[in-house]
Amino acid sequence: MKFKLSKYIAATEPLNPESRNKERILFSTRTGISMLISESFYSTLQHGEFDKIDLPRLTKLMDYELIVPEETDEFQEIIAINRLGVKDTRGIAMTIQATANCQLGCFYCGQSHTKHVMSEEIQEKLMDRLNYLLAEKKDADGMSVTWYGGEPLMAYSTILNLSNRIIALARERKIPYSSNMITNGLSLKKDIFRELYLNHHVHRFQITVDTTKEHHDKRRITKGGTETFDIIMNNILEITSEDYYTAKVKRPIFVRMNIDVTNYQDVTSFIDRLCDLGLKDKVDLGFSPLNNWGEKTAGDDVGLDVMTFAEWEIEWFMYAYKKGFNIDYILPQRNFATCMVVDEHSEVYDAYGNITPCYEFPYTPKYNEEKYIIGNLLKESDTYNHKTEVRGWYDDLSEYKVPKCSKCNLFPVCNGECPKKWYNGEGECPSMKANMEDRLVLQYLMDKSNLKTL
Amino acid sequence: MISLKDLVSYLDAAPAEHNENAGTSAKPNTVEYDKGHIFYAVQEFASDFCNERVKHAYFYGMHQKLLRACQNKDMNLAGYFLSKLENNPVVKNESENLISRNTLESIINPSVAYYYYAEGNNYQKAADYLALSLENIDYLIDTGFRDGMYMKIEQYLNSFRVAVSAGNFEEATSYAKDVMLYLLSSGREKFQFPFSEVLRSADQLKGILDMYINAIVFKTTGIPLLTGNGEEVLLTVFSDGPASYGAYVGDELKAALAGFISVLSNAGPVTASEELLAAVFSQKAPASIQYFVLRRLIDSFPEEMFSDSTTLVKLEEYCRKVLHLTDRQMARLLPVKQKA
Repeated sequence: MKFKLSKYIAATEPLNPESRNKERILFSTRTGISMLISESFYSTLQHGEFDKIDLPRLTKLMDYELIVPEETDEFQEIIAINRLGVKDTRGIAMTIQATANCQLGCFYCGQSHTKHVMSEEIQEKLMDRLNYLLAEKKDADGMSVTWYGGEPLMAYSTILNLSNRIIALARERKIPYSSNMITNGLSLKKDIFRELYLNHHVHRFQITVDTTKEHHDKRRITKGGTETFDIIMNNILEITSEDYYTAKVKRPIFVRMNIDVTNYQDVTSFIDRLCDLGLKDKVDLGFSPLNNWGEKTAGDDVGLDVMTFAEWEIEWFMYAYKKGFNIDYILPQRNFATCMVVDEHSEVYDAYGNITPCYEFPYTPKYNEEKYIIGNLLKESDTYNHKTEVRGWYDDLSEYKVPKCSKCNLFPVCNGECPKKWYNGEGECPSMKANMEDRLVLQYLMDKSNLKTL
Repeated sequence: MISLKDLVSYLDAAPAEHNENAGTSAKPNTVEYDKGHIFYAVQEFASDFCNERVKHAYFYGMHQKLLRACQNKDMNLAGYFLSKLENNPVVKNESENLISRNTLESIINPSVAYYYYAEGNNYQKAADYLALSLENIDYLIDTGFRDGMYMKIEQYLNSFRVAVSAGNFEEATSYAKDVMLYLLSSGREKFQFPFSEVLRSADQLKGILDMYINAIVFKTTGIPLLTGNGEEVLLTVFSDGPASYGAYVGDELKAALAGFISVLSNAGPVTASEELLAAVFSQKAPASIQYFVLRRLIDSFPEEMFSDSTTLVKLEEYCRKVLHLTDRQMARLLPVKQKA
């Protein structure tokens, strides 16, 4: 039986090029495990001299899947394992977009907003659907809801009603329940936060603030043109100063920044501002490149190219880390699911009763076509389309329809990142493709003591 | 007669440190011979006869992945890893050196058995694979790998678990009794040589005995009480001690076992004498024995003793913090809550 070095590895250059005992970081993307490795040992691996390796290290290398049988088609094996891993997922994940309404008129948003809110009839059907999914997945060991919109808080009472019913159902079935919300933060007053956080298990609130006031107030404005930065930041400050803020989790608020050519140079200023406001221990930070959304092509128009974003992203990670923000793990993890679209027990429900596999589809005219929609809650389930385009992602990958992915050493920790983009012909790799080596080094510097030498 | 409150006060006053890991997931204090190291030891033995380290390390890795997937109940993934191990012509290579083949199969067969055990509907296949693994291990022991005895006793325990789950209580009793007698005894019993010949220390034996007793008692107390089989199994396994105890078996354990057997043998209400409490609720008594006796004592107490919530809280605290009982095991102390 012959073996080879897996193609799914990422390695840094030697960390200490002047030293006699040079070491580099090796990352197995098949398992998401990183380790320090001497230069001579790295050479042994590259030359396939596995019989020279002592048994304890050999068993680790096998466990980390750095060495694989020679005849293995690794790409196909990863897809096969992904499919099985997704099948083993016992959670039921729902995204509920209870309203098509939103106060904001962001230039990059692809949604078409109306004042429509989910009717009681659709809520009833949604509960029927949840019961159906639970009956189908008898070993379900968790239920989760992401509240999204439009702006979800424009349907606050609907959310409370549905949330109460779902929580009661979870309790009745003795299934753990968790929840999170993606909100613009404009209506997230402290009383609303308290109710959702303490009584409705919403333990994660993603609020988008597009860096500094100067930038945010040019793009995340109301449809009437009103600025929102001060209101949102004030809401965050009031909420984070409440005694109960950390009662359930350490940092319930996640601040997401949409970054493009217009605001990338002010990310660090915004980090400074958050720091000055005493928020470094209270919120998590996320840096997102501005992308196209539906028919809106902001990504093409003002988006940063991946290389530039990747370079800056490392700077932002370091800057935020030095300032004391929680930047604890920046390496990608091995996941079996690319995202929700490959899990048939993960569905999105909008206010009209439409069921879709991706949360970016509702209210977005580009995705009104049949191939994007599973069905409608008001119709019989035998009319549902279980072969929507994105659900077939692993089938298409396994047929080598995305050549870039089949050749990429990061595939097991990326899985193509966003299938929708590839189907739209906008396929672009995530930033980690361009800054993986820097991520490995930075992670090493952040938790040096934890990385073992193999 | 001792009251519930007296009992809880007694437990409360007992030494707080009780560092053995209890519950069904207890691990022995085997230090040198956890599962990883026995693999290294058997490989070292096999290396004198063959050079298949890389291949063996690969299958060992696959075996670990199979076990982890089964433990996480990811049975679809587990099925994938199983397909790499079961009926693999590379593993069952007839032309291969017998020591190499038995070494590899002694690692693989138990994990394949565990898959069928975890799957929960093919216990016969699990038992068959364990029987095969015992043949592999016997071959290795008979050709000079004496530490294979650690593997052999482990597969006896696994065979017991499978037999209980399959409802084959007679077979289960036989495996458990054989292995317990062997571990406690100074003789070879039904095995190739006395266990003392491969044992490293008294501490190691204590760790192993705690693990085996806990595994047997907890697994058996999980048998639905309606069948009445659980206590019969335990009585048969533990009532006849060895002709002579091994030198490393501690006096505290002997006393705890004696107390346990006296409670087991008596179907009626348990009298909680000072002597019994001292023997069973000692720091060195396995958690499962304490749990069993506690259950029987609680059943014997009249309902009115369960009105004091402080006492009940303390009892629960002892069960969780000292005995490390799982929620499921706590639920089996349900009469406490019902009476409360």
